[in-house]
Amino acid sequence: MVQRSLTAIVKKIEGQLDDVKILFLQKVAQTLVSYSPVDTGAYITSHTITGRSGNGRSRTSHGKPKRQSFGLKASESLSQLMSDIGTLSKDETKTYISNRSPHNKIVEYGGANWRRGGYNTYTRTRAVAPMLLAEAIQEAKR
Amino acid sequence: MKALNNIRAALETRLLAAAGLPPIALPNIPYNPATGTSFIKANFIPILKRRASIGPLPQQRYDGLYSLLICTPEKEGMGLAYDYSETVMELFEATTDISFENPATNFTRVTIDYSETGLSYSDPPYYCTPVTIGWYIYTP
Repeated sequence: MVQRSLTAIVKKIEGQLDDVKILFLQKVAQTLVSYSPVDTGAYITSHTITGRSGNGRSRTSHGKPKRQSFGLKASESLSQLMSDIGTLSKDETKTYISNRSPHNKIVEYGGANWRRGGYNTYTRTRAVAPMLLAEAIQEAKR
Repeated sequence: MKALNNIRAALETRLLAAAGLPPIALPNIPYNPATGTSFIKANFIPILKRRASIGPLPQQRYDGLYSLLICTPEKEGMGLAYDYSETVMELFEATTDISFENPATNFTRVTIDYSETGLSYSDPPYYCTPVTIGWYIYTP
């Protein structure tokens, strides 16, 4: 029957849209982590993906040991972000990606006294987001 | 000059030639600001290089950011910082094409995608206001 076919098609499309959302967020998480600097690890482990604005991790670097391993901290951050993605509700229409560490702005844009520029972690991730979305769509179609 | 240097030169030339801005601190060039004076830190950030067409010699598209940090003395209000940021955003208005021709007659045209001012923050003895400019270019 035509109605059953249409229902099946709509369900398939809804499923693919859900897949696109998850794949896209996973790619954004990986990109954010790869663009993040690590010293104490407070910044990279403060990335959060959530369905509600105002929520998010906020870790201070004050008093923490410096020169931490990028690999270890990146793993920890990615693990947290994947867990955040896993707890998102399918009904949520907005997703917030944030970093509430006290030093997030100076990491992003740099300091007046820095010898280098800022890391532009979020600005760079935003710039590649359309490409990540296109990749997610292609993967969801397979 | 190769593409990235041409793009960087186009953006820097435009910024350095502008009237009404404080001194510009360019990347990897030592700069010691005088106490109590403003300056702008410029940071050229290429992000993507992608094929823009198909075929054996495809056109390439470069995307990137020009990240500026406007540093004004702290505890002196925001008027100066926002005057500078408005001047910069007008200089790099969205859809503006910035042309650059190097001595080897290599012509480059960089298109500005957007320019925006971010939240200011304190980094004593300065108060910093970020301005981010998105750009792209198609090369032959």
